[in-house]
Amino acid sequence: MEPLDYILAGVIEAFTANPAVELGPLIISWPILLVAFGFVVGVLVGATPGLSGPFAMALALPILISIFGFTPDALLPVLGCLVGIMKGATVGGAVPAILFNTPGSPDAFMTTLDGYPMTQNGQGGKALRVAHFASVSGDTFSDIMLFICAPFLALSIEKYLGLPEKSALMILSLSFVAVVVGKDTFKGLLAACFGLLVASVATGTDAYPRLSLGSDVLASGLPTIAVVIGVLVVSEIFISIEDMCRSARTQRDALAQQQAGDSTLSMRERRKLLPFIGTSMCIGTVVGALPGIGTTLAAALGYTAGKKMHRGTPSFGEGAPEGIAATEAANSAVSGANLIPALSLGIPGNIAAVFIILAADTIGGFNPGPSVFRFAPDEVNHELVIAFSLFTLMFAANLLNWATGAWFMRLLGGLVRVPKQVLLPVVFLLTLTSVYVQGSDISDVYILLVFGAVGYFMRSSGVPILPFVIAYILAGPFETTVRAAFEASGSDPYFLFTGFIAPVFLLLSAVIVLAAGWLRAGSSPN
Amino acid sequence: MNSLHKRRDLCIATLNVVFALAVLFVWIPRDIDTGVIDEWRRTVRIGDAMMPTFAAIGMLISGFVIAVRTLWRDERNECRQMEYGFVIAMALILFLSLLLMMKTGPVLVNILLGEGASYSSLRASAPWKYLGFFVGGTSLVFCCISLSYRAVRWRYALIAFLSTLLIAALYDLPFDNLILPPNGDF
Repeated sequence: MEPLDYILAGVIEAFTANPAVELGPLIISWPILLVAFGFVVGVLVGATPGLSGPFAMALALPILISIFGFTPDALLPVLGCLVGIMKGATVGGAVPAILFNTPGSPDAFMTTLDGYPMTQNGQGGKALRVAHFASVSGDTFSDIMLFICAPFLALSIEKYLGLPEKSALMILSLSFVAVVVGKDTFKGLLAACFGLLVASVATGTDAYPRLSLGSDVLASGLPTIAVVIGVLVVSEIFISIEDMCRSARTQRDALAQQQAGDSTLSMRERRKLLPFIGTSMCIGTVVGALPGIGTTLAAALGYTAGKKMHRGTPSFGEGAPEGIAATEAANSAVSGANLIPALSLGIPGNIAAVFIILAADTIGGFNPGPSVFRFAPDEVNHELVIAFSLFTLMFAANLLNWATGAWFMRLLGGLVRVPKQVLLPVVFLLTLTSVYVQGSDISDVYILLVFGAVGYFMRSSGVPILPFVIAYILAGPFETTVRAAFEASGSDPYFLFTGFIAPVFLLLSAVIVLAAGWLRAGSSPN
Repeated sequence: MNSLHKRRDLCIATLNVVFALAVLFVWIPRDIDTGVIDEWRRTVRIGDAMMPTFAAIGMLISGFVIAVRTLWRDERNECRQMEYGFVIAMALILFLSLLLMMKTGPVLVNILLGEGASYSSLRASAPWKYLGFFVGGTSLVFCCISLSYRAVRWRYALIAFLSTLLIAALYDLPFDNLILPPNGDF
């Protein structure tokens, strides 16, 4: 098959395979239906103070797998729903920030700076339109970059990097994530190494499941979804309940503001926003393509760049639409670009990418990594067809977002009033139930709670959890690649130091770790 | 230096160093059959002990550096305050809720239907299949809401019951193959 045939096959697969509704020539497939469903859920979750896209993805994944099973047909609907949630939550996150001055995530804090003053001035509707326009522009741009860059990056990796270089690249990525996430290099490394250790339990090539302590529960392996959701979601719930418990009035009831003023956004006003959106979406895409660097930095950089570009009144921080546009375009542009390392290298860059990879790993039939983008003219590379189907679903989600996102945002602004104190316990029970129904085994719930406690202690001690999760997900492919590289080298103990590229990657890993420690030491007050 | 932060960092470092040493010298040698390097049919290959050893050495070094740095340097980082009362309360809530979830069904079956009846034969039929989930789920949500507000109200119990009902309906009504907790374990 030629490249164009693959693209066409991907589009057809997304739109027609696995039909849910057939009305004569009109076919609505399960993947498209679930993109729409995921998008609505994503906007709702993003707009709910205290919840976020990764929360919803974590809850949805076990439910979706329980519903669709582990068949090849399940892959696209599950991925479609996750993509829908990811995109919906990206735009929905601006709603509480703008209307209620309640940022659901750190990056949304920048949105409150101009969004809430606009709401106070009676321009809440306009602020939401600005946020939607900027967010969906940044998201679409970032997706286009993903479609272009991921195949080229993967092909380059496949062409120029052998097994030792791929092993060294994984070490470099892990070091990078460990160092850039959080405030402490060595706590990041600690988390990453702990992730590798946990991933070692009951895996390996020997008949005896290693590190299983003779336990039947451990011998069958730790359920990946329970471990990941425990560390990411349950720990966050524990932390939030503790914070609310500490000050019983932390979460004051959000008061909706009157939207009596101008809530329209003319073409002229949109054109005025374009330079800010353009700059921020480029920043967001570059930041997003680097694993581990989240939306917060992108939002901060986008806002700062916008502030320098801005002339006139109102100035940034006093209700300037340009401030909202700069922030939202930057943080939304991260989401698509984050999938560049995930799809082309198999290295998840953020939590959303973790769930995409987790879904692919759990269901099977699609292993994100360089081999996905192998354009084989003589045979059909089904993984490549799935990759283009995934791109099509992302494109469909973007179209939906352009068409209905702004309307949903305004609608949900009035609906979402549930206090966090009530919402999080309910989400907690939902999480326990969704993990249980997947395996119908209470030990999965115990493992979920144990790793929830691990995540809670890590967060409370300033140890970042993202390096743990990424190392845990990457451990399997990393070990396989290192083993294969070692055997291919004829058991050369210096197999990671052969050639030019692998030593450079290893050197870069060392430099990143050492330089980050030195820079932090230099910037500390003493 | 913030003494809480210093104590906590020292605690993390010490725990990690001790844990990493235990992994390296006790757990890995006793619980992995192949070494770091393994020879199989005259082929030298990487053994199952390689990755955990690599990870444990990484933890050991990181823990050691954190300990040395904490003792030698005076840093002022923000430190989240952990409430031990909350940890104990949460552990109790989880223990009691899961206990209620696991035991309510079998105990009620025993009381209401006599010693001869077994819960496992009734786990797929209403109302028995909902008992454990309703009692355990409602108590979990109710206790967590009460803990968040630091107050106990009938309203919270009602919210907890309704939300548990909604979650049960979400899983049980549309999907025949999904089993509510704890019925899969009987």
